[in-house]
Amino acid sequence: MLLQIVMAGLAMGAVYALVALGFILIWNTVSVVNFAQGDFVMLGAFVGVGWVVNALHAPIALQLLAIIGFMALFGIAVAAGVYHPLRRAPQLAVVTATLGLSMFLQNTVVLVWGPQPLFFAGPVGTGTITLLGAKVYAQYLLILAALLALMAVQEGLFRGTSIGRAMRATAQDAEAARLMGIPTAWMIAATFAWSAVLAGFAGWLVAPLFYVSADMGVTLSLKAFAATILGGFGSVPGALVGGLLLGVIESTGSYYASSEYADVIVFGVLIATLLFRPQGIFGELAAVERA
Amino acid sequence: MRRPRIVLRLGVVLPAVTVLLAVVLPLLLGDYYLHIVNVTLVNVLLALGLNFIVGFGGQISLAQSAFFAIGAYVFALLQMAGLPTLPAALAGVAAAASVGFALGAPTLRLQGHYLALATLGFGLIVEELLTNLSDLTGGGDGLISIPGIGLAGQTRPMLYVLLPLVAVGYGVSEAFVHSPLGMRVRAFRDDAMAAQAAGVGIRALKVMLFVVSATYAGVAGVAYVCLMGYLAPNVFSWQSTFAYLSMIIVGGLGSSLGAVVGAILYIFVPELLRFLQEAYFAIFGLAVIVIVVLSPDGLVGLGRRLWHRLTRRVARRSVALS
Repeated sequence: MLLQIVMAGLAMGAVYALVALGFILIWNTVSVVNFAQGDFVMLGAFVGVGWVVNALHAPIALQLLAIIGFMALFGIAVAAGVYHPLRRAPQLAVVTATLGLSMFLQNTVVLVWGPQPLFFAGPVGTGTITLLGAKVYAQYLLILAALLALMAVQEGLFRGTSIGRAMRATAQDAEAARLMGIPTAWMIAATFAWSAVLAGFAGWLVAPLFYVSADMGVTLSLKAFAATILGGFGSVPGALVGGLLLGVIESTGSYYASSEYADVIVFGVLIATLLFRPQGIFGELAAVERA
Repeated sequence: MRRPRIVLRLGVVLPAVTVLLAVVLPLLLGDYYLHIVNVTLVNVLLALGLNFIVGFGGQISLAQSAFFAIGAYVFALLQMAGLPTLPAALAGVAAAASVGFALGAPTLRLQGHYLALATLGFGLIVEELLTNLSDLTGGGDGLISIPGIGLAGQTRPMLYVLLPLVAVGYGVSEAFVHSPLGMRVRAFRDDAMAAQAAGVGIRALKVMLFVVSATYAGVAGVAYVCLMGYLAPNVFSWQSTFAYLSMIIVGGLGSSLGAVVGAILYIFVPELLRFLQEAYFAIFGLAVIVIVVLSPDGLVGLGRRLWHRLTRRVARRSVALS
């Protein structure tokens, strides 16, 4: 039983980690808390399930390609339409613009796909696999495998390609990167694109576990925020570990303590982290203002 | 120059507008729309309050609906337990304010986004507790037949109660902006480093602004109970905090008038444009982005600039003519 609960927690945690990661990549590059990150997931799920699967009946490879293409373009559009005009504005302005974006996306998907949630069986349906004597949903394993694959791709992108290195340079010090001749505006757009692609994958992966609905991104945003705080704000490994840990805390908490209070436990952990260890697991103390 | 004008505005113009609205609105609107006006007024209080921490303090708080809920539920439960109305109301407001202090004091020593995240988590916990502590809060069904001030469902008397209350809230907010303390607050918002060097205690000011925000929300909670006579947790979903936030952004951050404009655009106007449904809020979300990009001081700031340009042109023309 414990193994099943931990696997369920890890699978949800992997989804949180993907959202948290997209969120942290944007934060590290442009210091913007993107409140619409969860809605990127929701958008990815609607596009993937609503158009690619239900309307086109596309095979899996095509589903993934379509989601990657759409979300990358969407990420670039957000960078160009929301972030770029506000790049010199105070942080509060950019953050509120992402709240506006969140509101826009949630209402727009209802206009496009209607108020009924969409159902998606996923490539493996409700099949189970026996693992160490415990039956585990195949979808959980698929999610974990996808997280590993995406992380490998990301490592390759960031370390092995010149675009990835330029993206990292921009995140580290945009001014210096610009002086080195790196087109930082494009690198920022690339970061938004990659971050949206991660969110789109998260949407496609999580869709078979829930119905696809306009407000599904909200909880995911929240959990991803909690994961980034837990792991250490601004830390990429922190986002991964924080996400997985949060998923396990949530699933074990709801099984052993109370399922009604699962969110209370999760956000209690968040607030306790903020109060007692604001730098999280991997974070630096720089976050604490000397005031 | 500034002081006499603000005294004139708060001492004469504000009461005059309040009385005018109290006379005109019931003549223009039927019972249904008058009720929407009352709901809008409660939202004006919430937006005015949120403006203290967000507009004046430059910090994002996402717990306004939680403080709203605390004010409403504490008042309702104490009153239903037999406490007289006034002490129950004061206790509701005090509960919201003191929870605000307990949450703000530790988190405000952290950078901007930490308050946003802590308040987000807090808002969610409060919402879950409202639904799950059903023995106390009535759970998802909520609480019914709360006595309040005995005016629930009577739109016109409630209007006469809420209008002066909102006028006071507005007056306090305006008086604050023009007070020496308000200027210090603006100084730290505009340049924290310089303000700190000049000896402005930033952390204490932020905590104070946050507590004022929570206090307004507590008052709004009590007012809401009196208006409706019942409570259900869905009104206090933490997502409605996003609504209050977008109200003050569209209206104009840091402007009391902006909070009023924003609440009208978010609550009253959609009621008139019901046929638009989701499209209205999709457009509203887009408007938040467009306004942040094009006019960071919101519609009120935009209106003010247009007005200045217009009057300057008229003035120039009259000079040219003379």
